Amino acid sequence: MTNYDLIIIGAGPAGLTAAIYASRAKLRVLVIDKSTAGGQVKTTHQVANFPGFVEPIPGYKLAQNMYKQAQLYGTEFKLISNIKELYLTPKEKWVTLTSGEKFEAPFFILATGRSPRLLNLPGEKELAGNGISYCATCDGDFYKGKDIFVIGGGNSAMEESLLLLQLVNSITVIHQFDELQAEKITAEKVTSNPKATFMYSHEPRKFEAVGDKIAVEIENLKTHEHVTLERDGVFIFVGMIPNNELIKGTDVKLNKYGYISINEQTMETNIPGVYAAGDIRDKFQWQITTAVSDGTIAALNIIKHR
Amino acid sequence: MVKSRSLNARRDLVKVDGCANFLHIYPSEVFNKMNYPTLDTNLHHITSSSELEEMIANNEKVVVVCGRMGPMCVPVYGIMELLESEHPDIKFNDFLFDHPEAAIIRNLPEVRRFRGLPFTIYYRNGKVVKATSSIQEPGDVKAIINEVFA
Repeated sequence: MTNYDLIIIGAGPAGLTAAIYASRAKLRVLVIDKSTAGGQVKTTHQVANFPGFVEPIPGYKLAQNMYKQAQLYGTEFKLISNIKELYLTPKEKWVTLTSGEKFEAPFFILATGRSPRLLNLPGEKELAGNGISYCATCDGDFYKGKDIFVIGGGNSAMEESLLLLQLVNSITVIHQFDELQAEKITAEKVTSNPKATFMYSHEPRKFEAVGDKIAVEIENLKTHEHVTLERDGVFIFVGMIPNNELIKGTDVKLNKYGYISINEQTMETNIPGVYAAGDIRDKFQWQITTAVSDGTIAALNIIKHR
Repeated sequence: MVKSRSLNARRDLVKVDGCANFLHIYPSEVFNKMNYPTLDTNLHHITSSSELEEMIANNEKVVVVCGRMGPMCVPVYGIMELLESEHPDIKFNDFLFDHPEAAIIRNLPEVRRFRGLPFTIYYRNGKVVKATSSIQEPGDVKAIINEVFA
C-alpha cells in the first residue's frame, strides 16, 4: 500500500488542473487513468476557445502541456492502468490496480469524464475502422466521391456532416426523431445541401460487410418495417455517455443520467473527502474551461481542509 | 541523408488545416521540397521505405503506427510511447501516413480494407503478424503485444 495526500481518477483537464493546484500546494498527488493523459482534449483537432491562446492550439498539444505542467510540480502518474477496485467511504479510501498495486489517500477526485456513445449493434465493433468511423476529420479522406451514411442528428453529427459533404458524393442521414436536434444554423447548412438526404424516424439495427460496401439494416420506427441499404461507409455521431462504470460500484451518488451529484460550491460528493470534477459531474456545460474550473474548486477545497 | 523536421517547425511555411485536408496541403511534390516532415510524437520517426525495411530486417519485434496528428491517431501514439519503456525488446515507430514512401504501409495487403487512421502494423521476424485500423484501447494494444510478441 502506498499513501498519497490526494488520488485523482482521470487525467483530463479537470484532473490535471486539480493535480497542478494540489501539487503546487505540496500535496503528494497520484493521477490514475486507463488511457494516456489529456482526456477528450487530446482527441480534439483544434481548441480555439481556451483563453490565453490567440491562435487555435491542437488539442493534443494543450493536453501535453497540462500533463507536463502537472509533472513539473511533482504529480505522479499511473497511466494506461486499469483499476480493479475502488473503495470510498468517509473513513477509508483506496484503489487497487489490475497490476496488484494499492494506493490510499484521505481525498479522492473523480474526473473520469465522458466518452462517445457507441450503438453497440451487431457488426459495429468488427467494422470499426473498416467501414465504420467516428471521426470525419480523421477518416473522411477514405470516402472521397463515395456514398455514406451518417447516423445521428445532433450538433456533432451535423458539424461532421458539413465536413464530409466537402468530400463525399452523397450522405444519407439516419436519425431517430422527426427533425434534427442540431442548432438550426448548422442543421440548415446540411439540409440545404443537395448531396444530403434524410431518413427521419429511422434507426440502424445491424451492420454487415458486403464486398467493399457496408450493408445497414434500418428500422422505420413508425411502421417497424426493416430495410437493408448499402453504402461505402458509415459515420456514427450519437452523443456522449458518462464514464461511470467504476463509480457505480461505490456509494457515490449519481443522478438519473449517470453523472455524479455534487455540492456546486465545493465539488464534494455525498461522501466526505470524495470530490468530482469535469464532465463526469452533474452539469449543463461540458467545456474544457468548465472542467478546469471544477478541478480548481475541488483542489482548493481539499487544500483548505486537509 | 534526408533531413527530418517536425510538423510544428513547418507551421511557419505551411498552414495545417485539419487532417482531412492534409493530402491537399502535402502532395508528393510538396513533400519532396519540404525535407519530409515528421509526426509530432516521442516515437522514433520512420522517414523512408528503406529505413523501415532495414528496421524490420534487423529487429525481431517492430511496431509502426502510420497516421497523422488527428484525434484517432494521437491516443495510439501516446499508448505506444508509454509502452516503449515496458518493452525494450520492441522497436516502436511512427510513419507519417501522407509521406510518399509510407506507400510501403498503405499498400500492404493486410490494410487493403482499412478505412480508419492510424494503421498500426506489428512485424515479427520481418513479417506482418498483426495490423489494426483506427483508434485502439490501451488494453487492446497490450493484448496484441502479448499475443504476437510472446
